[in-house]
Amino acid sequence: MTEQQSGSFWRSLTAFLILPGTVAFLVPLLLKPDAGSVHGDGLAVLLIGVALLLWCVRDFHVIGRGSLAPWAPPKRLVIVGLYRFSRNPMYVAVLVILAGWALAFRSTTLAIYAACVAIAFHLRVVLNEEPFLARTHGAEWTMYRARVPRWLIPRALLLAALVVSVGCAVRLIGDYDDTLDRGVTAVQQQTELYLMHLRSAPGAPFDRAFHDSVAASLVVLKTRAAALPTYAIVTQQLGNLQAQYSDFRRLDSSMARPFPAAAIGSVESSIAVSVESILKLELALKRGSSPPASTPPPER
Amino acid sequence: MTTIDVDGLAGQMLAAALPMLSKSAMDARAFAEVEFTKIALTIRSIGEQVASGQLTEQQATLLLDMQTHASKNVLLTLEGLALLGAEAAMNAALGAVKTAVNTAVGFALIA
Repeated sequence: MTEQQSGSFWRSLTAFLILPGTVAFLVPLLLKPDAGSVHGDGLAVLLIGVALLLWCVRDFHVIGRGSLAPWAPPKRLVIVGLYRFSRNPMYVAVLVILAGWALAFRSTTLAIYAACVAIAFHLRVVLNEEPFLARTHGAEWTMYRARVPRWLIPRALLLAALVVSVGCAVRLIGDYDDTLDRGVTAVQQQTELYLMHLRSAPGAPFDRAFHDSVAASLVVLKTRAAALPTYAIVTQQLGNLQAQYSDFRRLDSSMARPFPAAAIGSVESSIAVSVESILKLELALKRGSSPPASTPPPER
Repeated sequence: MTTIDVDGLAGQMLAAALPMLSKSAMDARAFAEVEFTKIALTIRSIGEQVASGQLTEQQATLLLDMQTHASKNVLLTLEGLALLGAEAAMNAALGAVKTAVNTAVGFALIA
């Protein structure tokens, strides 16, 4: 390696570390959330971006005899490699890296940062770089600009988006959970037994053990639902069921004996509607299998 | 690669998605009708129990509160079923895209 080549290499390396290093790595590392897991899909996107960026930097150095730094631009117009598909693949690569950061940390802040950087890149390219290239490379630049789009070939971009979308099935709500299904069913069964006992022996006293047992089961089930991914709806439903049992507990403890049969019917009906609602949704979460129809209302 | 017919593709996506939305809406409606009828009957019964002196006002309030929570759970199930319907519609539409893209590129690009 001659002294000139060595100097060019170090200029390229310095420019790489200062410019993409800051925009694509240092700032995202400062903006990333402190807590939370790192998602593999984002890291995969980030690595793709790094690979694209390194490819472009290599072409700049080897073909263009220059660096990505404004103070040492390529001496020749680089139109090989990724520059055949986009006039600015290096910027595209940096944006892919930033998208990877945002996806890896599921961070809105990083996504907004990526959008701001995209706008800044666009303005810099349109207002500064393209006029410079037109002045420096003349006809060669004009021909290249006519042949290759500024960012990406729209059809390729559309196809890539479709491939990514179709490759991943959309999931808006969590999956069926057998433990929740069985747990809610068990609570209802326990309740039915208690209500049957009250019907057959209306003078039976308030049973604290029954209410404590149901309350404990519902706390466990709600904790489980809260831990499951995209289970907010079922978690809220279990919260409503807890509130119903809390009302029932107060009613049962305050009701004079014999417990009126009609009131037992009202309790039973409201809890049954709640349980059926939860189970209806749970069974629908199996996706594809037909959930059974609701129990019809009693004859009027 | 053949050109992708955007209008044709949109039509295929719509045709795939609409039956999913329709099925989901019918299922949700049937469920809501049954459950809201039960709640209405129970509320009427509570009113009758108060009128006949079987329940105090405080006890009736507790029973009505239970009905309110039951209604909320029915509505939450409807929300969940709507999400599942939207999800099925989106996946059906994307399935239509898969076919169109594989046909356009001439090989099974998307498995």
